Amino acid sequence: MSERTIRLRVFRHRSRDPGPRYDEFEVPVRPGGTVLDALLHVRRHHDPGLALRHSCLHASCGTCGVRVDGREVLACVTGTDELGDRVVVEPLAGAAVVADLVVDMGDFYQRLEATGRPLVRAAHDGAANGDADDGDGAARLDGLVRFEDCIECGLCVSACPVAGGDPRYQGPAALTAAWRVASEPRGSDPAAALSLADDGQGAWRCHLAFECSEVCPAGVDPAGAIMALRRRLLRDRLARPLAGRRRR
Amino acid sequence: MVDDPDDLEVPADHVEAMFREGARLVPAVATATVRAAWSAARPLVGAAGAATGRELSRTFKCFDHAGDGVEGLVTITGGKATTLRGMAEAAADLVCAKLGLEAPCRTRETVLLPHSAFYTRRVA
Repeated sequence: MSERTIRLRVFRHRSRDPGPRYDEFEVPVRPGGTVLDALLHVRRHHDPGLALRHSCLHASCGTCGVRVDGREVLACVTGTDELGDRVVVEPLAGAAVVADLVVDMGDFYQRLEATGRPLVRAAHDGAANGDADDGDGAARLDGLVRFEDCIECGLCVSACPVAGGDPRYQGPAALTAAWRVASEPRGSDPAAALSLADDGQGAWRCHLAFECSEVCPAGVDPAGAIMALRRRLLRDRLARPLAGRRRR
Repeated sequence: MVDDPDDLEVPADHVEAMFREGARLVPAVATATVRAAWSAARPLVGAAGAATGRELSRTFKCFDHAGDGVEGLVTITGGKATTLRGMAEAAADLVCAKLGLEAPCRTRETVLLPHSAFYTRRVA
């Protein structure tokens, strides 16, 4: 198990620079090592000025999202064993670069916030579509949406070909959040979330590339959530009386 | 005990030991997929000359360096992640005492904003 060396090609940019560039570093990698290990090696032994984000080191926090060889991943769990001897690391797409591999996640969080995202039930209501308790203490799992798996990493928005070209599109993360509010309101009113989705820049803007679900590291399936939103919005429209139906 | 807390290794035999011992508690661990392996160092407070980390306790301690001839410098060290709030309170209490401030510590009652509030500017 001898150590291997890879050539890391890393996107670099500071606001004072006339334009972006790529720096190359020779980095030793150990079996089982990750892209984040390699990036931190660059910081410690080559350039402490390399800007990057990380925190939990095990794909729980969603902080270290980057593009490796053009693909959205979490650097902390992307093994170098399966990569070639030349690896390209770039920041996520669609968001303004703050410095090097760090992007501005402000718009991403603003959109998530706008969906409401009640994390705690407003009131305990055993009736209606609140509880999933069968009464014997065992919770029913069918019908529950596991949006809570979302770690807000932004990989889905970076991978989305629509979001990459149009900052007005709500994007897969926000739409999935809206779907979770609509399907599991927890005492809140889902009307605002559904209204956000029922928009030309909402669920109807999706082109079904499904890249979002492909890159999601947490098994959230944003594409499935957007399709579920469309079904729900259509169902709601058909349920409204025809009289008073307004043009769009 | 590590030489450089900023440049740590992940010894393969340590990872194997984690799997081995973990499988004794939960057999399914033996065949579980590896998500990541990492190591971290933490400061331990104890008597100088301790040969191994196991000899040092996991408590935390606040040092007022006025006793070392340096006025205006306080060190808080040791401890664990689960005691961070308590450590902050101990350090703040010492600093306030030195500055003559008598306001009570509120960290036990203050609810922190989520990380996203940095971007959304939502005031709790």
